[in-house]
Amino acid sequence: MRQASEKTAQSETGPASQKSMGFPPPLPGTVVFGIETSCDETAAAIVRRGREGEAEILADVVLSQIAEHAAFGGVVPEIAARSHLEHLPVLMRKALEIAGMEWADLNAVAVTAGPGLMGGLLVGMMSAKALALSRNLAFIAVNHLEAHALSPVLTEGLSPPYLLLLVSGGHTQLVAVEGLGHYRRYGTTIDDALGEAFDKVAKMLGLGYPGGPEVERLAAAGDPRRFALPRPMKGREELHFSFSGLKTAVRTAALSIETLTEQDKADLCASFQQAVIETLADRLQRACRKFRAEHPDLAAPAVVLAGGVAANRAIRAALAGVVEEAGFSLHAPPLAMCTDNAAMVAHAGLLHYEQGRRDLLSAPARARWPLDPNAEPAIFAGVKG
Amino acid sequence: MLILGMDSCLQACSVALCDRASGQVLSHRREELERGHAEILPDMVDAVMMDAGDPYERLAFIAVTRGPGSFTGVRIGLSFARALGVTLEIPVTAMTTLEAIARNVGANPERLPVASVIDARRDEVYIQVFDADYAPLTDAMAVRADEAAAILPPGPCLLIGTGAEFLADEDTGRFLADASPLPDAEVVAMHSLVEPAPQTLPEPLYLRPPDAKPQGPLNNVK
Repeated sequence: MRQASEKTAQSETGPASQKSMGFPPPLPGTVVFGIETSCDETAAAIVRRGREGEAEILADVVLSQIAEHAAFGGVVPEIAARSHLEHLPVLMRKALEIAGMEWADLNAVAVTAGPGLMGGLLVGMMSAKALALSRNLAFIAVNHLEAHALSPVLTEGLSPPYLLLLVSGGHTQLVAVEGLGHYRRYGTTIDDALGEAFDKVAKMLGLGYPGGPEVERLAAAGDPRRFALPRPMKGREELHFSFSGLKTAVRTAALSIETLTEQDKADLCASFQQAVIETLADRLQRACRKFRAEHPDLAAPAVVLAGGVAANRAIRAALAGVVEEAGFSLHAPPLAMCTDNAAMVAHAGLLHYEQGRRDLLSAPARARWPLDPNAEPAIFAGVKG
Repeated sequence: MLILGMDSCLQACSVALCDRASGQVLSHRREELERGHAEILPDMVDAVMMDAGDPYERLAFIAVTRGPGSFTGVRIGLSFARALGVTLEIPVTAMTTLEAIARNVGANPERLPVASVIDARRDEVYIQVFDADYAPLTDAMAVRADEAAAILPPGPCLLIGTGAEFLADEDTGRFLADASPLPDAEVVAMHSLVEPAPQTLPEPLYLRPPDAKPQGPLNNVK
């Protein structure tokens, strides 16, 4: 969380330039309550537009359900939904208390309406609608991907346009962020999300959950060249991803060994991670080229790396190299802002509120909600589109 | 004392604003539907409150059904009611769907026990038996349909609910009650606990665990 003084100092690159970059004029004093329940994090937050036009995070509480899903090696939708119901009201009260506010001090409530797991989305949506109705607040249904896409505006004072690589347990997307409501999807996964692939590899090797940190830990002691695994989509012109075949290749390689030793597991993890790195590097390289071609006048193009997988140090280091070589600057919001949280939802809601958007209390939760409605569907992409 | 009641657990969605002191229903909305409860419930509450002149500051508490029923339906009503309680800073109380349906029988001049039976799909029912004053005689249970008859009281009783019909047998005195088999918010508002604890929120009653099995690693992992 940045301090107000830093924000003022950064206003040159931050909020002040918003006007020219497709953001509505700021409405100082606006307070937005945010709710996030789309996957396995229950979160509530309060964001305020400050006097200088900066966005301030007044409260940001997140409750992770990791322990509840660990035995299953992945998020179980029904367990997630039950947990959201149990914890959300407590987190809502806590956020208000941390901000030192009353319900009557709020102007709007923003909630993730999708994409995500329906059971969890509904709990967040109903709670947000109850708050909007009981306190007569503006109600704003936020796209979860948009909240991620705009989070560097909140955390870094970055202004669009910029190129976003979102890699998490639920999403793998390359998006050109042009301004509020203006996103062009360059690529998406046609099957598993990258974080999901890490979880599945960890699960088959009997490692812990979530799989990302475990696979990264073992990979550090492994030989990335021992197993010849595919580099899915590498070299392809279109900027999509695919991780299902890679995961199956890891499985086949693992089953070719009679009894897996710790070294075998480390080598499998290292080989898998290397395949992922090379694939991501290739995709990002091409995306930078495309972004550059589409924004020839942009003096300092930027890449934003977001999502839980961005916490992987080996991936981050490799992508930093790609970004530097392409002449872009790399921005990675702090991990707490990279993974699911409600501050980014409140912030996206704040921008929409300032633009005058108000949603109806009959607005539905949406399991699928593409950020770029004009993007051609990626073949086989299904719900990940 | 104004009470706002709501239900979205089964194939109906309803909202009622009641004055317990006078026993008066001030406003009521109800729709029978399979899906879409989440989209209509907030507007139903808004309409019911508007009918009565938007008396949010006069609400004493919120009353809601807490299951058993469709997991999603249970969570829609409960999350909405709980958040209303938290944001209005008033208590929330709850009633099970089994009790709400049993109470549809109303006056019960022969004072027969009432068995509330909900179709739980997958050849199961949710079942609970109440006395003529709607005090529970059994726990609320999820049982296989062919085990349900064994839960019923030995003598005559009234049966009610979406899964009740197959248990009716006039020869043994098991009569299907002539009343709605679905819960209604009016009953919930009128008969739920009068003084819920101010800080505790009602919990859902699922009666079934989540459908998920822990998964192990590959067979060659030690």
